[in-house]
Parts: sequence; structure tokens; C-alpha cells
Amino acid sequence: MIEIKAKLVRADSAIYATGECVECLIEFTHKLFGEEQQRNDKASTVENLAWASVQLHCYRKTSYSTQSADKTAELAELIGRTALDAVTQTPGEVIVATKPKILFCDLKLQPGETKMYFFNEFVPRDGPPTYRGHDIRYFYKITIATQRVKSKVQTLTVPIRVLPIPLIARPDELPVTVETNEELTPTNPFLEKREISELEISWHHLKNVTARRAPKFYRISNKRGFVGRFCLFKPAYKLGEDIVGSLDFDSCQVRCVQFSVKLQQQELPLRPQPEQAQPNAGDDVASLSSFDMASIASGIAVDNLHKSETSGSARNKDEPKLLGKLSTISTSHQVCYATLQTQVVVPIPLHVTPTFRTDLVDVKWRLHFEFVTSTMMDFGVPNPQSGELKAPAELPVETMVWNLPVTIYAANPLQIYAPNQTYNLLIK
Amino acid sequence: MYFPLGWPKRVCLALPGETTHINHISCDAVKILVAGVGSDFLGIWYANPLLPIAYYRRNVESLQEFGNNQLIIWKPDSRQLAVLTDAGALLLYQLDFDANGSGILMQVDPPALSLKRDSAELFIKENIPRLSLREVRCLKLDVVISTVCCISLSELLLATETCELLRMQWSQLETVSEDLKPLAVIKLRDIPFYVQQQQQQPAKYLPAMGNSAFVASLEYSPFIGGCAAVFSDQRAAFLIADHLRFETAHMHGCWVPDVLDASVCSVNHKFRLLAYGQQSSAVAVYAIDDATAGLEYSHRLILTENVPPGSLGAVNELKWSPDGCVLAVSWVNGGLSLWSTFGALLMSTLSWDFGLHVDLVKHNPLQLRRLEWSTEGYQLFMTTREGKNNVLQLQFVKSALSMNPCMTAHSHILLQGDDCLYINQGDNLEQTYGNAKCTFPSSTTAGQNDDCVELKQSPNMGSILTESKYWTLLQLPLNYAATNWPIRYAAIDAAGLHLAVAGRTGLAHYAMLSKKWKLFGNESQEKDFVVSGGLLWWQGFIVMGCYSLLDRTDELRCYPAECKLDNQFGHKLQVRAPVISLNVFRDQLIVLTADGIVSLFHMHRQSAYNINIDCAYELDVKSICIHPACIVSLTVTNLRNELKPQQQQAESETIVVNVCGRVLMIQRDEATQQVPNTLLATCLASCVECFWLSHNLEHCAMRDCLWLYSGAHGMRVWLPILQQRSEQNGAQRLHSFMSKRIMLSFPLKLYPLVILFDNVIVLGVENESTLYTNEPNSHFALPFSLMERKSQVYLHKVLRQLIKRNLGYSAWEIAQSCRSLPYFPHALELLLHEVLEEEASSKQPIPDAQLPSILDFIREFPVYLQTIVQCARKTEIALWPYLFSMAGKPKELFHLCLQAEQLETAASYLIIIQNLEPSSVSKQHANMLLDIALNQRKWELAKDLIRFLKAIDPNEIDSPRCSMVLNVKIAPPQPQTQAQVNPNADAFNLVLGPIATRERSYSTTVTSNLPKDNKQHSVAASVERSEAPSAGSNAGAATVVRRRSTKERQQREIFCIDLILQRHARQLLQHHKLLDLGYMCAYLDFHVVSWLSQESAGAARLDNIAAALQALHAELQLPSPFPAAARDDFAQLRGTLRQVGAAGGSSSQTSESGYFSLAAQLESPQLQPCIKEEEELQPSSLPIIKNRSNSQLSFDNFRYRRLYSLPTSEDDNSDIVSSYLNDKLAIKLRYLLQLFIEANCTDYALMLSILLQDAASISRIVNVVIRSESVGACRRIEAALKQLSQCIFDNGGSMYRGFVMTLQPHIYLLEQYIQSLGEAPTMHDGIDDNNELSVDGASGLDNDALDGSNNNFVPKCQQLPNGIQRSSEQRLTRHASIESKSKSNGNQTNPSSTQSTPTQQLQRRGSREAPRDGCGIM
Repeated sequence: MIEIKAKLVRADSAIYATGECVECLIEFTHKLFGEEQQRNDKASTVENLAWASVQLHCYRKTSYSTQSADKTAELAELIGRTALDAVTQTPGEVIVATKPKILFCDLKLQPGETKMYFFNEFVPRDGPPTYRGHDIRYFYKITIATQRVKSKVQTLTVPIRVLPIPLIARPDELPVTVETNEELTPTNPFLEKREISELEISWHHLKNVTARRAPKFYRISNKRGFVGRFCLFKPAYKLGEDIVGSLDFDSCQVRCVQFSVKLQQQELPLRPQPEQAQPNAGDDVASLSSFDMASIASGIAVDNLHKSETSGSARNKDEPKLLGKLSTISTSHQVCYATLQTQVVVPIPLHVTPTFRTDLVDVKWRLHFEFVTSTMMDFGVPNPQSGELKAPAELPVETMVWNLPVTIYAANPLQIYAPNQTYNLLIK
Repeated sequence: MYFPLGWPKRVCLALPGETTHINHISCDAVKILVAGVGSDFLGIWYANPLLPIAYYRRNVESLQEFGNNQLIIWKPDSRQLAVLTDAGALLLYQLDFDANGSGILMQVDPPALSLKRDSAELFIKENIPRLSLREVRCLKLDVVISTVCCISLSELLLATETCELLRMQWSQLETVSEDLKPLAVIKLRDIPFYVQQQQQQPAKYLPAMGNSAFVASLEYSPFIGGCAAVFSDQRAAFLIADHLRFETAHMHGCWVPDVLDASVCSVNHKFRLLAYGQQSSAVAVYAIDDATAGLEYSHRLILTENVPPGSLGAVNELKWSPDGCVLAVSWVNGGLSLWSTFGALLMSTLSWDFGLHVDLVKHNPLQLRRLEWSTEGYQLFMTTREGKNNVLQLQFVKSALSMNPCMTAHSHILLQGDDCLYINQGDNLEQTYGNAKCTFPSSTTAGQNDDCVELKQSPNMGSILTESKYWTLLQLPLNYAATNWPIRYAAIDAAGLHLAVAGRTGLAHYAMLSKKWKLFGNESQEKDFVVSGGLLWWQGFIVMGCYSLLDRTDELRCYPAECKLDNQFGHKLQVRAPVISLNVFRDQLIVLTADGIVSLFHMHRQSAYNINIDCAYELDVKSICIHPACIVSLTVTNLRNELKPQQQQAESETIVVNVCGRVLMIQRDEATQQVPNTLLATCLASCVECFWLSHNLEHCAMRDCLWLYSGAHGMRVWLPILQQRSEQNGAQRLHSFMSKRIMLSFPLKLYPLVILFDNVIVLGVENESTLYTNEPNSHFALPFSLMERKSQVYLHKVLRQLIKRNLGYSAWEIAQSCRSLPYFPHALELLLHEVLEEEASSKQPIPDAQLPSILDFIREFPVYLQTIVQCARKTEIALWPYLFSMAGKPKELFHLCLQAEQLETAASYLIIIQNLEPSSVSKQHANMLLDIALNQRKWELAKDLIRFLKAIDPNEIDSPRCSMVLNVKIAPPQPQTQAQVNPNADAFNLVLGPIATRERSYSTTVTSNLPKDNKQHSVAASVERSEAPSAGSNAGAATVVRRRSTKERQQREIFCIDLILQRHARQLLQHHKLLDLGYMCAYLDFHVVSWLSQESAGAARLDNIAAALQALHAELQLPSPFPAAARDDFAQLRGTLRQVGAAGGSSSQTSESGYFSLAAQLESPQLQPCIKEEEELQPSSLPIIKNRSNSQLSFDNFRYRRLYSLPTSEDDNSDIVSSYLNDKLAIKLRYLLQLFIEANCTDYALMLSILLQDAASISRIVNVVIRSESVGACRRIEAALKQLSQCIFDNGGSMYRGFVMTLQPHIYLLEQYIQSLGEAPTMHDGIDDNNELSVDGASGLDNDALDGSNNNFVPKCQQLPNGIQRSSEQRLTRHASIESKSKSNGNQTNPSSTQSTPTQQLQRRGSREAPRDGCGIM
């Protein structure tokens, strides 16, 4: 009996960014079990495997109509030539596959003998991230396939999570991020400069993008008056960061009784999905229309009183905006009846998928605000000069909704704690 | 362990629509209601959500009569409040629950659908009670009431300005009777006051207090049985009643001895502590002595960090958190700080980053007046001193340990907020397979290689240090949080995969893997019990103490995590009294109940859903504590005072209890005794906040230790003393009197939350702040608080304590067990550093210095040399002599490094030698190291060393350390030997990389004060003196000269370095190590061209070009240029194949089998130099082999074809060159060729051109030589070419055969020219021309070569028979534009190739003929 064990070198986080190198140790052991050991004591047979290969696949499972059937067919044809693909019980369509690497041919293992192989492969730079959405799923697996002579091909799969590192849109920016060396002797071939990989530059770029820049202020008001001022310190975040904003209700004309801020993921199909348009509308109507009634104006800065309309205030937009599938990831809720100034802290969990876009789907993030306001600034009766003042039993409120898009980028995979176990397969 | 988060919220507690200054905020006993007073009103609020319930505003007359509201006192049942006015009157308010009608402020949605609330969380589930507030009575006594404190449900104490305490009943205040008679009037002037617990002799009676003194601040604690009081004359006291009845006769007071400037006081119930704030901005904390009931000094809180002394002002408010774990302190001049129970600083706003514009000393933006902790201590209400809207609310998270001390066994940091949990998983070490020692083939190598690699041995589980991981934030599910806010208990299981939380009622748990919460399916079951006393995980079960609201009983409950959260799966066990604390050890559960009984249960897991709990024994612990609530934590363990053999430790037999900070150990006397005896309790330590036990450790030798954290007193570890194995048998009996355990204490910089015993590291959390904006008016001008996980290695502290106590064996065992940790060398360095700093800077003489033993200890480990130098580099130079007097002379250590081949470490020692020895010595050593570095091809190091040598300031005359006369005498030709250190720190940084942390201040006076240097100096001086008569004025003159000619000396200095470099370069050249020469020039800024032109007649001459070519081939690992002649081509082909096989070794073999063996590859001797040489080369090393094997085969093919006169084109030639020289190598060689040409080293240029098979370059060389009109040069070139041709035709299989054929015209040309020169030897003109022409020619070549380098990869075949003509043309057009030139080149290439083809074919036909014949054909 042969046991195949696969363990990723990065044992504490089985997470990789696109363009990073997946390193995996694969162990083949000829195992003997109690009775077998006795039986085979004399005639200790040598176990034999014909071949083994390793490959990294990215799969897609979707309920979207993929018009590019020909394309996948083409891909499948491309991949189908390899012996590996013929036996992979595809859980979805393979959309990215690396070149299979051969571990060995004709491996002989003495009883108790172990052989270990090292596999490494770059995660394709342009592949989609691991994503588990409503209508589409992308996932990556390392497939280790092996075969005994005259028996079935057996496979062991090791799932990994892949985070997207966006490609740099303008390659001419690149030199800016490279630290300039004081020595400018590039002509000497003996002084080889350390190659700065595109991935490194992308990380650097990402750091710049997610750095805190000038804060943006938004004046929140509805038709009854000024509610408050919201300030967001940056528009782009990394996984694991907190989205921090501040809310100032000082000198408001309408009292904000409570508010909630939700971090929502929007899954937008990029191709028209005729059969799905209808059911979507139902649950989105409420928020969409309320969103129209309450107008929110936002400005870059309050000081210059420059008001610009966000997409939110456009109540008479000709076409209803496609909302896609929404899922709320985290919520921050506060009762702010007595609050003058407060903060909004929305954590971005480490397990979500950052903003990305493929040919089929566009996954975006937004902050969804709901402000519950009341025009009742006092208790409905004037404050007494002396004596008791009791709070009223009821407080009429109105709700207004506002959406603010944010971008979420990947974090360094090493900083995410996700211990992975060893994956193994027994071949009898 | 409280940590603030975010900005403080600003809230408005005034009447709706108004803004006022709030004087005092107070929460009621159960922290559900909040009362706030402005000067004319009282407001009652619901605590969470913060919503107003009722206000009462006083009228103007009342304000005039009784004064403004000042202070609120709640009655414990929350039904009544008393408000003290600034005029000393008491106002009583009644709070009535209005039963009719539902809650208040119910939010009503408008009818329009679009304006309705949508999300579930916006519908507040909390029912805010309808309360009515009315003023019951205004009470104005004859005397002014200074302060009030509530002592029980029915009574309160009023302190008056007449220095009396009036004990009153709440009910008395209500009754509107005219004559108000207090229960007791305690005349403080009549009760005895003691000092220093000397009860026999009352030290001071009241008269000392002065007539005007009265009680200004008062707080009562039932556990202490008295009040802390501060008098208006700033004296602090502690008032106790003998019978817990406050009457003059039964009362006495204690003056707090050292506090004479008290401002405020606060009492900690759980730990029985009294804290007195002082005018001096310190806080003095006293404990109650159990024996005498007097005061016992505990510790003092003084903020020293980032604070100029005296800038804080008096302490103006103190508040213990509800659980007694932290104390909040604020000062008059601003600032807030948090301290743990026993004085560890957790947070201080004075170390926050407020930005550049805020000067905290002049004006602190956070000037606070009153503090009040809200529910469970998750929020702190703060009122600022001035302004309206002055209420701030700061959010906190706290460690789960504060409520649930049984969580100490876990390795994850778990913090709880009011509705969320913060988890930091994973330790500092990232687990990986394979550590630093085991390297995998780099990705680039393997990337080019298609297949996987077999590893010969399995890599070990290694670990690398990583930055801290992100916090995982878990929000409580809305369904649970909405009705059970806030979190009271939180627990995580050992693996960190399951979490459980308990709020106001019920519980919920969470699985990290599935990311799902589990709640009670039946909500009424959730509402029916309250978790109390603790919550823990045990083998997949959640175990808790709880109170069932339904049955009104106290219970222990267990719920399995696997199945639904429902009572039908739960296990219940009734206990007699409320559970106060619980803990688990293996399968034993220990429970403390409020009746003072500790019960031990055995838990038995029957299945995933079933658990069995049996009571083993009960133990009454009332005798060891005042009240069971004073027991902070407890556990059961198998830890014992003495070490027992392993097999007997299976059963736990010891109970460890923390009572008010005192850790008691209750041991079972004998194995036969069933129940431990409380009488046998031994006190191990006091002032303990938290304790940990280390049991089963994988790596670390510190087993069975008790770890204690005691705030300001630091960390303590109670560890068993290991005995040496040799002594274990006999000696143990003999020395039974020797202690078996030892308590070591050491300071910690952070508050420990988790101790990772295996990694000898402590994890904690620190408060950090970041400023979001500098805008001073916005509320976020205050810093934003964050939490940062910090860690601290404690290994060195333990080791030091052990070595100090002469327990070196234990220290060694522990260190040995931790050697695999990545920070182990760092820990050793810290160990050395601490001892060194302490001892070297000590003012008093040290009777027994620890440094020698520490050094001996470190010497046990192979990192000794690095440790010493790393430590030295991080300490003051002034301490170095002390260090090296113990550690060994730096020179010796330097030589040890050289022996151990630790060149980098040796380089570090240079700095030390530089500072401690005469500069001649350091120079000498640097030169020595430079030599070795050059030999070992450590170019970077050599580069740094040269910079170091150049940075030495030659103007070293005034240095007292060395005598220049001595040096001059010893080594007169050496230009400059004494050098002082360049005071510029950059010079050092050049050598050893930036030394970031250390401040370098070099002062000669410091060094010269040291005895060693003095001695040296005196020796030197005496030598100088003795020399003086003989040398006389000579020396003086030399000095003067030297002073003047610093610049000159510097140049000579550089000259000296150049000598070394030149010597090395010459060696390289002699051994034909051209690549090394290239690297050397590139890294060391060595002017190779000028050197080569000097050497063109010397080392750069090649006498035997064929041998040199062979040597170069060997150096570049190319196949031999002159393989042995073979009989026939087929055999030869086979031979080459075999050769390839031999060269490639197992690599080609393995490539057949489809994978590449890493180990075999490394073993292959041929590859070794290439791999060792330079890491940059490594990626290219593999392709070389491959290419080579390919090239040989293809070359053979080519030759084969040629032999049979198959049609070949010029392309074949270029293919060969590019295939057997890989791109990078070819570029390097071309670069070298360029250098040699520039330097006019025709021999080497020729050889390289041949290697590159660059006919154009050869023709250029020939042209230059001809133009130089030097017969000698021409003869040499001719001879070389001929020799080469000869060699090649001698060895028929040479790869250069075809190429050398094409060179025949050049030989012919040279011959012709030599002949012509011989005929007309016009010497005089010739020389002139020669010079001119050679310069011209060189520059011409330069241009050409530049051209060539532009299109390096296009092999140009410009070899023309009429070379002279062309080159002269080129010389004419040299100044023309490059475009035209390249054009002409392009034009010329084609004809030349066509021209050459027939020639070659001709040659091929006559390939077996003599070379001279080839010439003849031409």
C-alpha cells in the first residue's frame, strides 16, 4: 500500500497571491500494516508506481450562461491532451491549468521506504482569485496524479486559496517604485542587479494605493435638513484592515437616531443574464427606491461648499442600476441619539475575496449606509423651566440609504493565519 | 488588560436640544442606568443604547437656596439618587418604574415604504423602561455636607465640614420630618488614629488635623470593612469600624503614613486595595494586612515616560474598573492613564502621538474632571473640565483573562469588546517545512526546469519569524447581541478553533473553521440562565457555572459543541451556592462556590455528546480568605514543591489559589490523604495578578513551572532546579536541605496575556495611537487608539538569573532546549548586553562580576563570536574595553573568526580593533581580511573593506593611543599607519551596513581614560622618549611634514590599497581567472584599464596562447578546446558524448529518467565552483550544462556535415558561439574583451576574440598592431596566431578549427607587414607615428567595439583581406555620424559574408592540409 502525502511548505497559511510560487512537498511511502507486515515478512514486495505528475488547476463553476463554450472547449482540448486531465473528475470547468510536472517515472519503493519530491509552480498571474459567490465559484487545486501499471489513475487534490494582485495598469509607472541606486553602472555585466519582479512592484503599488491620503468629506442631508458629516480617510483597503470613518452630528437640523454601515459585496454578471434579471428585482426594490427618496449630497470638502452629486442622488436615472447579488459581510451599528461625534469602524474579514473582475463577473465592494433620522429634536414638548421631562413613548423616524463604493485589495498571505492540514491518499 | 480603541465618542447628556456642562456622571450599581447632572438638572439615561429616559430640572429658587448640582450617589437598588450640591445640601430624587405602557422612544416608521427601516439591527430589541423622576426632598443641614458615600442598601455616610461623619438611612432622607436625627454621629476628632499599624500607642490624635480639616473624599468597601478617606488638609486615612457599625466608640482610623498630599482616593474590592492620588501626580496603593487589619504599602504609580517631572499636576480622579483589574487615573493638567491592579502601565495618553502642533506640557487637549466606568468596563465616561458638550466616551476591549482567569492555558490572545471578540491566532513563528538551513531549489532554477525535484531527506518542520498577524474580529451575531449585550465571558479552546461567549443570559459559540455561530434554538432556554463564574472548553464541551433563572438554582452545565445548542443535549449538575470561579486541569474540574467551598470534579467524556461529572472531594477555603469573592483565580495542578519521579505525577494533588493577589499553594500532604489541607497552604508570592502553569512542553526544558505576573514587580517564575545527571543518584539524598525550586523574577516591558512556553516568548498587547489629521478643531484631532500585538523573549532573563545563582547547569539545559529557535542568538546577545551595560556602567565596584560566567556560558554555543561582536556594536564604545578584557582580545577573536571562516563576523571585529588598537593594527587586520576576502571572492565584503580602509583618516598625529614614531621605526616605507577613526558614522556604515539603532559618539577622551589605553599610551610615549635622543629633530620634522601633507598621505593610502588589489589582479590574470577579474573590477572600483595598460608588457602578456586558452576553458567550464585527436570522426563523436556524460555527471542521467536530482547536482564536482562562486550565477549554472551538451552535439553534427562537404552557411558559426557560450557569459566576455582592447593588451584581447570567435575583433586587433608599426607586437601576434593554428591542427577535434582557418589571412598580412618593416626600418619617425597611431587606433577600436556592443548578438564577419584599407576608411569616417556608420556596417556585412564563403569552402576542401597552405591559397 502506498501512501501519498502532500503538504504545502507554507504550513501556516495555505494562501497565495497570483504570481507567487506554490511550493509543495509530496511524499510517497510504502506503508505496511500490522498483519500485512507479518504476511509479507519474507516476501516483501516492492511497490511500483508507473508515473506521477503534479499540476495546478483553476476551476470555475457557474450558473451563468457562458457563451464562450467554444473557448472552453478549445482550452479543454488543449488540456485534454495531458494524461492527467483525462482522469480528473472535474468539479467544474478548468479555466487555467499549468503545465503538468512529472515527479517520476517508474518508482520502486521498498517496504517502509519513503521518497519525497518537491513541487513548485507559479500561480498564474492573470487567473481569477479564489471566490465563492452566488452564481459563480472560482477555486484552485493542486492535483497530484499517479498510476500503477494496469490500474486506474489516482489523484490527490490539495486546495489552495489564491488572492488577486492586480496587474499594474500603467507599466510606465514601474520605475517610480523601484528604489534608485546611487551607483549608475548598469553597463557592467558583472554587476548584476537584483531582478525586481513584477509581483514585487505590484505589492509596492498596492501599498501605495492603500495608503492613507487626503480625507474625503461627505455632507449628509435629506430634504428636511442637514444630518451630519461623514469623513472617509481612504477609498482603498487591504484585507484585514478596518474601514475607519468619522461621523459628526454637531449642529445638525435633523437628529440621527441610529445608523448602520454594512460592508457589502456586489456580484455583477458582466454579460446580460436575461433569465436572472427578474428575480433580482424583488428584494432590491426597497432599498433602491428609498435610496431615491432620501437625497444625499456629497462634496469633496465642506469648506469650499462644493457639492457634487454622487450616483446615489440621481433619482431620475433613466435605467435602474444593475445591483447584482449582494452579500453583507460585516455590520457596524450604533444608536447615536445622544452622540455628537463618533466613528464608524467596519472590519474587513480576512476570508473574503477582494475586488476583482473576470470576463464573466465583476465583484465589487461598497459601504451601505442606513441613517434613521428624526426631526424631533426635543421630546415633542418644550423643555420645562423646572420639573420633570419624560421621554416620549414614540419617536417618528425616517430612514435613508446611501451607498459608497470602496475597493478592497489583497493582503500579504503570510499575515493571514490559516493553518492547513496534510492531505493524503492511500493507494491499495 | 484594558485597551482603548478608536477615538473617544462625544456625547451630549443635556436636555434635548440644549447644551450644558455636565458636572458628574454616575452609573447605578448594576450599570444599567446612567445619571448625569448639570448644574440645574438631573438626567437619567439608559446605558446601552444610550437613550434619555427622564430629566428633572430644578427651578431658580431651588438653585439659589441649595446651590448647583455637584455629585450623584445612587442607592444600590437604583430606586433613589442623592445629589450633593456645591453648597453642601443634599437633594433626594425618587425613580419610579412606570408599569403602564410599554417602553419609551419606540421608533415608528413612516407609512411610506421607502422611508421604512430595512435592516434587522435597526429595530432595537432592548426595551427601555419608562421611569419617572421626582424630587423627594431637599435637605440642608446646619452644617455643610462635604461628601457622601453609600455604605449599604439602607445606609449612607455623610461627611460634614465640621469633621463629622453622619450615618443616615436612605429612608430618613425621605421622611419630611423636621428634626433629622442621624443613626450615629461619628466625631472624627474623637476617634483614635494610628500610624504604621502601631495600635498600642496612638501616634496622632485629631488636633493635629487642624480645625478646618474635614473629609473631602470618601469611599467605602465592604470587603475591606472600612472607608478610604482623604481630608481637606490633604492627609489620607483609612477608617475602620470594629463591628462594621459606624459609631464613634467602635471606630478608629489609620493615617496613611507616607501620603501627606492626597487629593483623591479609590477602593478596589476584589484585591482589597486602597489607592490614594497625590498632589505630586503619583498614586500610592496600599493593601490591607490580614493579620493586623492595618495598611501595608503595595506599590506606587508614577508616570515617567514622555513626561517632564511635575508637569502633570495633582491626580484629580481615580477609578477602579468594575472587575478591579485596572485603575484609571487622570491629572489636573490633563491626561489619562490606565494601570493594572499591581501597577503595570497599560495606557497613557501622554505617550500618544498628538501631532506636531500639540505641546502636551503646555496644553493637554484631554483635560478631564470626572471618570466613570460603564457596563463591564467596556466604556469609560469622561467629562472634560471646561466647555459645553463635555462628555466623552472611550471604548475599551479587555482581555478575556480579566473575567475568566481559567483562560491562561491557551496560546491565543483573546480580547473581548462589548459586542465583538478580537483574536490573534498563531504565534510569532510561522511554521514552514524546512528552515533556513534547508533550502529548496530556488524558484527561478526550477522554473526553467520542467520537472520536480526529489529531496534526499525530508526537511524538518522549521519556523521563521513573521510580523504580527492581523487581528481577527468576530462580531457577535445580531440575534444574540440584541438581547444579551454585553459579552461577559469569552473562552477559546486550546486549538483556537472554537470560541464561546456568554452575555447577560445564555451563551453562543463559534467555530473558526466553518465561520458559523451556534445559538440556542429555543430562545427561552437562552433567556433562562445566566453564566457566572467562568466558561471554558474541555474536549469539545463548553463547561460553565451558571444560575438558572427558571429553577433558581446554581448549576454547572456542559454543552457539547458538536450538536445543537439545546438543553436536551446539555449536562447539568446542581451546586449549593453561586459559582465564583472554575478551572480545569486535564480531566479535573475545580469549582469555587460562594459558600467558600472548593469542589473537585472528575470529568469523563463518554461520547461526543455525553459527559460524566463526579465530585471527588470538597474543601473549605473560608479560612484562607476574607470572602470567597476575594479569590481571584484558582487551579488544580500536579505541580509540587519538590520534584517527584515521573510516574507519580499523573494525579494532580495541589491546588493553587490567588487570594487578593496572594498566591497560595495547598498541597496534599501524602498520597494517602484524600483531601488537601488548607492548613498546609503556603504563600508563594504576593501582588500577583495572573498566573500560568507550564506542564507538558515539547521543546523547552522549563517544565513544571509556575509563572506569576505581578504588575510593577514584573514577572516571576518558580521553577524546579535541575540536577546534573551525575549527581542525581547519590547526591540527592545527601543534600535534602537544598531547595528544589527557585523563584526568579525579571521585568517585562509588556503586559503578558499569553506565555508560549515552548517558544520562550511572552505575547501581549500594547496601546498604540495614530493621528488621522492635524486639523485641530475636528474631533478626530485626537489620536486614534489601536491595539498592537507585541512579544518579548524572556529566555535571556531567566538564563541570567540562573547563572547569577550559580545554577549554570539548569541554564545550560534550558538554553540547549531552545537552540533551534530563530531568535536564540539574539537572546544570547541580549543576555550579554544587559550584564555588560549593568556592570560596566556601575559606579560601585562589583564584588562578583557576572560577565565572566556569562561569557563562559555563551562560549558553549557556536554563535559565540557573532554574539560578542553584535553585542559590542550595540553598546557604547566606552564599555568595550571592559567587555574585551573578559571576552578575549579582539585581535584573537578576529583570528578565530578567520579560522572559522566567518569573514563577515571578522569584518565586524575590525571596528572594534579600530577603536581599541592603534590604527596600524586595524589596518593590518583589514588588509589581511581583504586578502582573504579577495581570495574567497567575497567581492561585496572586499568592497566594504576598501571603503573602510579609505575612510581611515590619516591625520592621526594627536591621537594619544598610538605612537607614530614606533610605527615609523617599524615600517618606514609604509606611508601612513596611524589613523584615527573617521568620526563620521557613515564611514562605519559603509563597512558594516547601517547600524540603525545605536548612537555612535566617539570621544578620544573616553577611550584614553581607560587604563588599558593609558598603559599603551605610556609605553608608546616611553618608546617615543627613548627614540627622541637618537631620532632627535627628525621625528619632529616628520610630524610637521605629516601634518601638512595629509592629502598626500591619503593618496598614498589609496595607493597602498591599490597595491593589494593589483597583486590580486595579477594573480587572477596569471591563473587566467578572467571572470573573477571582471567581478573584482566591477565591485571594487578598480581601474582595470589603466592597470592593464601598465601590465600590458608584464602580467598581461601571454607567452603560450594555446595553454592559456585551455586554462580559460577550464575556468569557464567549457569543453576543452583541444581534445585529443581521434582516429576517426565517429569515435570522436562518441568520445565527446562520453565527455558530455562525464561532465554532466548524473545530471544527464537523471534527465533521462525525467526528473532532476538536486543532491546529485550539488555533488557534481564540475559544477561546484560555479555554484559556490556567486549566487547570481546560480540560475545560469544549470542552463550552461544543458547548452553545453547540446552545443557539443550540434557542433559535432556541424563538423560532421562539414567533413562531408555539406552545404553550411555562416549562420552555423554564430550558432555555435551563442550556443556554447550562454548569453550572459558572452556579454561578460565581450565586456572583458573591450577592457583588454582599451588597455592595449593585445594578447588577451586576441584570446578572448578567439574564444568569442569574433573575427571582426581579431581583424581590428591586427590592424591596430600593424598601425602601431611595432615589429615586436606584430611578431607576437603572428606567433600567437600561428601557435594556435598549430595546436588546433595538432588536435584535430578542436571546435576552433573552422574559425582559426578564417584567421589565416591575418597571419599572412602580419607576415607581410613584418617583412616590409624589416626592409624599411625608419626608426625615428616610426616611434612618433607609433605613439600617435596607437592612440588613434585605440580610440578607433573603442568606437568599433561600441558599435559591436550595440548589436552584440549579431555576429559580424567583417574579416577582410584588405583590412588596412577598411580600417583606414573607418578612421576617416570616424567622426561621421553614427547613423551613417551603422549603415555602412550594415552594407558591408553582406558582401563580406558572401566574400568569405567561398574562402571557407576552399579551406574546407583542403582541411587536412597544412595551415601554411591555407595561407598560400589566399
